[in-house]
Amino acid sequence: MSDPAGAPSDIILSVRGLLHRFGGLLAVNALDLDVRRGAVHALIGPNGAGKSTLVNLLSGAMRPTEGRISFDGTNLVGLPMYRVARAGLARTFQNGRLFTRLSVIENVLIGAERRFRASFVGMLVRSPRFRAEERDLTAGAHALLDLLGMEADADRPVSTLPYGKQRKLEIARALILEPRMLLMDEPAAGLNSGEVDGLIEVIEGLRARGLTILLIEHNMGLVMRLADRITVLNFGRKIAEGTAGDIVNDEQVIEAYLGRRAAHARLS
Amino acid sequence: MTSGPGKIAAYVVGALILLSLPYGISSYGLRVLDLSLISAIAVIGLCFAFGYAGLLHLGQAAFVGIGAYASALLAARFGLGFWVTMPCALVIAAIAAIIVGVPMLRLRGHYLALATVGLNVTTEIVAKNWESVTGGEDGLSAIPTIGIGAFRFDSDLRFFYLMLAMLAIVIAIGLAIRHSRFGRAMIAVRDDELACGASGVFALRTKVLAFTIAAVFGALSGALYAHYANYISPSDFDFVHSIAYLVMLIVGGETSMIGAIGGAILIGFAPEMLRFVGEAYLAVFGIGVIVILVLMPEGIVGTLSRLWRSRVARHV
Amino acid sequence: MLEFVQLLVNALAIGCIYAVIALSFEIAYEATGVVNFATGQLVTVGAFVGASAIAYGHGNMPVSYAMTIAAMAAVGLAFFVTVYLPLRGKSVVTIVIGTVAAGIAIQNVSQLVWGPLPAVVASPFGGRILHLSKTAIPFHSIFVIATAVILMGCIWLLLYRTPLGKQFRAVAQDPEVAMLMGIRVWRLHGVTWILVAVLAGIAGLLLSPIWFIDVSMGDALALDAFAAAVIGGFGSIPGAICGGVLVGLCEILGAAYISSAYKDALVFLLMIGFLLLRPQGIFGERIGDRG
Repeated sequence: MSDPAGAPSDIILSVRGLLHRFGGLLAVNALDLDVRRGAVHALIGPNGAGKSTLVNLLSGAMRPTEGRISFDGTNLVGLPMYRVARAGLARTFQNGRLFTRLSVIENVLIGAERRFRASFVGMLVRSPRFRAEERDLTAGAHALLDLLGMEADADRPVSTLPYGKQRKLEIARALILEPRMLLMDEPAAGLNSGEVDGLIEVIEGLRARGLTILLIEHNMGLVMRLADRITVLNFGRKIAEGTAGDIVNDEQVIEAYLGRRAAHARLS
Repeated sequence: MTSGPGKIAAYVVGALILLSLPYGISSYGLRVLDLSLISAIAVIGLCFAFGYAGLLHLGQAAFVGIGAYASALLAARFGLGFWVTMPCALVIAAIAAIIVGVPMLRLRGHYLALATVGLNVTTEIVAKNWESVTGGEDGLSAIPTIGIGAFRFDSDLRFFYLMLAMLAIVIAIGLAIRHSRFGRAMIAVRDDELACGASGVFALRTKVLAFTIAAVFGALSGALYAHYANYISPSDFDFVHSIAYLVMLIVGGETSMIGAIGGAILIGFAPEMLRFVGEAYLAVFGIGVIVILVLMPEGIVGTLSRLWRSRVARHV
Repeated sequence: MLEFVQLLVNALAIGCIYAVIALSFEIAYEATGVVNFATGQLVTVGAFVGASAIAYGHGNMPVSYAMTIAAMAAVGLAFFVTVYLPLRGKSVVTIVIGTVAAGIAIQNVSQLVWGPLPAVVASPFGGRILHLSKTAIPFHSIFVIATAVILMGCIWLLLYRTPLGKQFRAVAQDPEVAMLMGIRVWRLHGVTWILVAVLAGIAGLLLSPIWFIDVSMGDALALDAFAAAVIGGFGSIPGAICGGVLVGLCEILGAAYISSAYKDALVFLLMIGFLLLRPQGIFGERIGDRG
């Protein structure tokens, strides 16, 4: 499973022969994928190409019909979602799933669940370990909010946040897990251009910190600016892979998005 | 959320009202109040299982019964005092909750509701038929009162102050749980289980914890009831009581512990308040509950606190 | 052996009644999403309205039965307007408590109207017994089983072989899409609740000559019907029959051969067993495929 162009540990996520059937439909069809450590790897394709299904399979929300998923040496197939998250692979959701009955800071702290070690009894008696953990993890949560420009919103109810900040909150919640890789499912959906620029900055900052990112996106501007590598899916299969330059001129990609005539027109 | 000083003032006033309550009502009323406060603890337990974690728990009375019978039997068989039998009863209830909860809490929605009904009915049947242990339909009598040294809580008034102390402890524990990762996880599990998984929260374990907390509070309520009424029988812990606890919680406001107490008192006194309708009391009660559900979906306390907040906001 | 056959027939008859109650419960859930905890009280009302109708009908059974069914249709409509419509769209727990409260109210009103004492009701077949090679089988038991089977058959035909049934199933599966397709969802829900009450009422009618009826019998009946629904599988008509019969067998044979005290516990352990191992029941959820 090694990339001929680099040592094995360069690949943080390795997918082989992934297949998923929904009723009679093959949502993901014999997919192979390697994601390089520290890269921003984008996954694009027309609607219904199987991108969201892939994210669900990787994060443990669904179990694949066939195939192997290896994350930093750990097999992910069959693990429930919470174990995948604890293994270091975090995700955000396409429509933003926040906990509406918790405040902003509490939403972030949910992500820190696996980092709390104090027991229930320790919590009841307010043991020193409990108090230290609460203090440190709360400080960490505040720091993340600050990083995303949301420090002032810490105690607000989630429902009062504007949409752009809600998406950022989800990112903060994923980051407090201290993941090694982040799956982002259409993070730019519904954002205006100013917010998209903010998102680009955030993702660049995350890459600078060594986080690997697998990015599902429709927003081509964002993808072209950020992606180190792009994989294109259609009908559950990979139809092209490479840098932005490679993809833009690929006949199959153009055909998938714009139809056969456009592909021929473009290349003639 | 109301401002700091305003909130403290509300709590002080509330506490003063509570402390002076016994002096304004009849002796029968005091007894009803004591019983309501005992129920309130079971309802606070339900606050965790249902209000926070969203479990459709129609079997809380089963754990109240386990607490009551465990404490009463330990007192009768071994001559132990309440302060020993009660913690034992809590442990027994917790163990029962974990054993039952792990398989059962994989169910959701109406399936879970029916399973908890089945649990309640089954424990009631066991209580009615295991005569050698539980006394069967005749129940257990001559259960000793609660005491500390020579001082016994054998009057309604003394018991009232014991209940205030108990409620204070229960609320303190409840708040401690709420403002910890356990409380946050329970609330999150009800809000969005999928997002919980993505955040590394083990949903089943969280639900079992909420269920067990409810069982422990329920058992405390049961133990207090046994040593207050000095007599228990299986019909004190039937399905109707489980529904009553849930009604008290909903009427008070699902996630509010204060609301739970308010709901318990309101429903506890409902038979008294509706006395003037005579025989038709239950019909009026049933219709009244439906009306409250329709007009005040956040419960009475929830609606009142929302109105209070909007009034405060306007004056600021 | 003879005793066993008699017990078996008895169990089948009771089981068929549970099956009809289970179907009432299931139709309410599948078609409108409501877990109807007032089911038992509706059965009780049916039994007592039937008893009154028979008493005032001067022995004209068909007329009395018809009047009872008409009355139950009215009760169903009233339930639709006063309980279902106000609680529509609210959370599951609110609806559960709402139907429980409705049940409490109905039971109290029943007590005010008919008093707290148990009643005995005559069967359309009097006390006539069929003697088959030394066994004594009450005609009423045969009537119950036949009625239940025919009734279930009719409901099945209605749901799966008529256009109205198709609309029912569409609404059960996805009320919003059904509405977009022009189906009058409101009207169908009204019809649903009428059907729910009529089914419960018929169960009450069938039940009254077998057991003493009293106004507080509702909850016990409902719990057995819930068990039947779980065991047979929500939304499945053959499931309701199977579940009902299994519960009937468990109860009657359990009481006779194991212990009459713990018979209810047996039924519940059976239900809990199914919930844990096969929650969709023997036949699985069907009509609306809710989950």
